[in-house]
Amino acid sequence: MEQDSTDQYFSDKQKIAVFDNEFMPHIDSMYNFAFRLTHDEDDAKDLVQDTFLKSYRFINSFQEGTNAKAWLFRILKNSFINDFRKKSKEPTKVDYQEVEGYYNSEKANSTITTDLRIDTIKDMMGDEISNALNSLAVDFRTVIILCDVEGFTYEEMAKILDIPIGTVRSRLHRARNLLKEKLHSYAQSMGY
Amino acid sequence: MSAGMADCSAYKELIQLVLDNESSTKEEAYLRMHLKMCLKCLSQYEIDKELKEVLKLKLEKKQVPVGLSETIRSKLIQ
Repeated sequence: MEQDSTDQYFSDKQKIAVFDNEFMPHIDSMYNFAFRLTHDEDDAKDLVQDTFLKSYRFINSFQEGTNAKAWLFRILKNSFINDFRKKSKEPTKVDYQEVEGYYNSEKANSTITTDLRIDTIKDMMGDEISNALNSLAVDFRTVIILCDVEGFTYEEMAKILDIPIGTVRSRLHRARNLLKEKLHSYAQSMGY
Repeated sequence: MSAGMADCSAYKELIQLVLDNESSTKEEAYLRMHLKMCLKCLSQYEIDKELKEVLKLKLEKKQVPVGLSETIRSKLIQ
């Protein structure tokens, strides 16, 4: 978010107007995203507050008329990674590189076949879906939330996550396969 | 996409593109045609579609803590 030639300059009054009209309406989605990343209400609250204060501080690099929600999600995601994950109460999960490396391997791609049935998914409760989603590594969890819960396009996701669209696509594909596996083994353990 | 996709693996990715509204009209037509002939891919399509809907509708939505927006708003002025 460095200052550059594309920056807009807002007066203090304009800043507040942009903040109130374009940023604040997204607080609900932001809080839910933050909660799904941190799994903790206080942490989510801090992360959202931090994101909004940063968005105000760097408001000149926001282009009016562009997608404010995607811009805010990007700041939130970066805050989570840079400031937050380090001091988070959540124990460090498996490093993403390791996970992606594994799932890029031939072996993993050929073994991912699920016998998950449509009725099983229909019968699942929100809690069960939630638990399965939460058990995924944060990078996999994130793409599913951004795409399926928040409805971002691949292009917006690429910007939020700073990765190429091709990576969005493949990461999403793997994330969904993993989620289906989790749901399938959960269903089996419940005897569905 | 060649015709020789016995294992249908390329269709699996196409299914996701179509469900995510990220495919071209041509790609979607190509998939629809295949789904008429392949039960396995059709059921995959139905499952992926259902999963997407369930994620959208059934995940618990948290309420924003009371007073959070006011707290944030008050910090801007300082």
